[in-house]
Amino acid sequence: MKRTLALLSLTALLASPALAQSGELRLIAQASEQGNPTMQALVNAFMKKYPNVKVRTEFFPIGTGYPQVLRTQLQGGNAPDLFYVTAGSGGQVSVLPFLDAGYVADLSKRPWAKTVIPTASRGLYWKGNQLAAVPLGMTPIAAVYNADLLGQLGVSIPRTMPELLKTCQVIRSKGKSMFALAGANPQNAGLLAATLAENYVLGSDPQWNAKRAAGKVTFAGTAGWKKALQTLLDMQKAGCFIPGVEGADLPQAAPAMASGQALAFVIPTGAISALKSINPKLNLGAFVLPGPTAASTVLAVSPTDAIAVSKNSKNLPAALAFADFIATGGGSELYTKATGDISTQQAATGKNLPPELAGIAPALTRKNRVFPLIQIEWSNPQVYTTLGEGVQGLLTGQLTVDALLARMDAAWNRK
Amino acid sequence: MTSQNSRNVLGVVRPSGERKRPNPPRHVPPWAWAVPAVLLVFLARYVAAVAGGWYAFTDWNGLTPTANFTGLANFRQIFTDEGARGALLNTVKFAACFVVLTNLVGLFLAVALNQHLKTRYLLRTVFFAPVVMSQLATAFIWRFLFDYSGPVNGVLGALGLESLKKTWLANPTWSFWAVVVVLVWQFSGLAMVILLAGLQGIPQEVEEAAEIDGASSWQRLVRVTLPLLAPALAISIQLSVISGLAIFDTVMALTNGGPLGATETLATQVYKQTFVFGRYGYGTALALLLTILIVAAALIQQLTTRATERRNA
Repeated sequence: MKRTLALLSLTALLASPALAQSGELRLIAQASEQGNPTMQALVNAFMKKYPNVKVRTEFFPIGTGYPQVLRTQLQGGNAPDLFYVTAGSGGQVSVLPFLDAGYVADLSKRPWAKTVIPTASRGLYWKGNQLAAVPLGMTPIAAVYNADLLGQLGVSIPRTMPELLKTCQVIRSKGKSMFALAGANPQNAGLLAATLAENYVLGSDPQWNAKRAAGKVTFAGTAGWKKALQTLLDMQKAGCFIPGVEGADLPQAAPAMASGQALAFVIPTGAISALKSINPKLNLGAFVLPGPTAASTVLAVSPTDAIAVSKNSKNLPAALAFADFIATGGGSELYTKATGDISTQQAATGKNLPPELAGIAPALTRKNRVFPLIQIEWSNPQVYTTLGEGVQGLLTGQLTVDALLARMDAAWNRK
Repeated sequence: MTSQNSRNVLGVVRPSGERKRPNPPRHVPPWAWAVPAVLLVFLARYVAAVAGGWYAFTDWNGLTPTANFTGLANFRQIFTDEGARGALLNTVKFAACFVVLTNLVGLFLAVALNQHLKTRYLLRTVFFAPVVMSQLATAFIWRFLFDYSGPVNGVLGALGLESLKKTWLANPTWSFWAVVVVLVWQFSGLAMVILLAGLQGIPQEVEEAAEIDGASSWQRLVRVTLPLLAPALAISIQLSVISGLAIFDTVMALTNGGPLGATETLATQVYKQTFVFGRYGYGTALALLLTILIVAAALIQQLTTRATERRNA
């Protein structure tokens, strides 16, 4: 009898999903100078839940290092079982081109496939009836600010762009800057321009990306784009940015904010943990980068970080279990809590946000005023890089707004 | 006990148990040992390079299993694209400045440190040290020096020259010269070593004879030293032409090709187009163009040197 009971218990244990999967997986992702502790924590939590599965992680430098390694491994037939991707098609590791090339497993049959991605972002992960990746969380783009410095400067958070320009002048007169910006870094410079475009382009025409893809509109022919980039020049004129902004890269811009030289930094809120690693004493808050009026201001929030499963994984059941763990097993919550990103639930309700993001809670729930990042639906990574490099050109006076927009149209049409 | 060992003609003791190694068969040519290595180098370098060159005529994106043949489309695009033409022009400008300035500074250092200074060995080491340092690491240090809040502007400010403070690496004009300064600082030491070796090969008697004949220092340098230094100078120039056309690390780390392409070179464009934008076909076409440019420049320089040597002979 005892023996029968023992056998029954063992059978029940082995039938549980955590023990049914076994073997080894390899996951690759990007990392900063400090590594990628958040991803490693996610992997450790998975291995704790699935003790029979060992996940080996390999991290490569953020920027061009990781995309290069990923493409080489996929192309060279040495694909990892799981790999970090971003949504859509406009970035260097955007997942849809990998789906087109046949490198990622279709996740559309997973039980969570129909529910885990917000409807507005569906096109960033789905192509036809195929689901390319599982999102790790949602990323709002906001002006993350130093709350203590705000009090010291005696200014209040601007709600409209005219207010923001005046606040910049006040802050400059006190020897500080409103914004840290890495003007020489195409990714960061492009992000500010893209966030302005959320307000000035998507705010008035939410279907603009679809129209651009259909060839019905152009960058150069869109008044909203001209206004967005002109606003960036107005911000420069009003002294909104740190001195030498056009030559600053992230190693100059991030410390400027963390050390109190600049009040705020327009970044994905997932980068809050990186700012705190520079100065753990920072008391941070966040506000939405304002549009021309408070009513027209929109917020960029979309799932960006994600994990794709390799189509040729030698241990597909375990790899799929990892995707399930992210979607419904607590992985997404763990990841977003550590990074400063938010879960789809938090994004939809604006509730239970980290304290730093309390300032953007009302904006999260405004109907029809929340959009995915404008650039992640673009045709190729060169369009966004052209925008980012062009911002530096605008700041140095090498380029006019019209010339930059014409360049972006040319990059869009490039194959 | 009788010794079992034997001694050969060179006096080397060979144990009795060791057999004399048989001579290789006479029909194997003496260069045969090199064949595997030559074959490997040929396959790994030349065949791979030529095979890779084929992608210059395709639209391959680095992901799809197949590549479409597009003929000369990539090359047409290079010469019609403003960014690529700018990169080509910058490459030539960088190479010209690099060749002239590194060799001039290298020559100055070589002549100066060929004198009987007590500290000459220490100074040679100091000036050569940057050559063996990582280009990336040194570029990041220079980036800090050139930063708007960095020491270069700090010194200018301290001297009361506020008006000269600049964002050196983001200024459309000065960023080019900032890169040149770093390159010359880093590679003049190599030219110095090559030219120093050349200088030490010049017989002392010739210099002394010129001095006895009343030649001034300048006349001795121009009329005696430089002509005798021509072979070393040719090597130094040839190396700097090749390096100057392929400048990559320093530019990437200092300016990333910016601002807005002001310091973009063909090598940085090859990297960006290929690995950042995934345009492998176009990137390979740029790389092929760069290769042709380097080979052509090296050949022209070689032919010019030979012609000069023949004239002088």
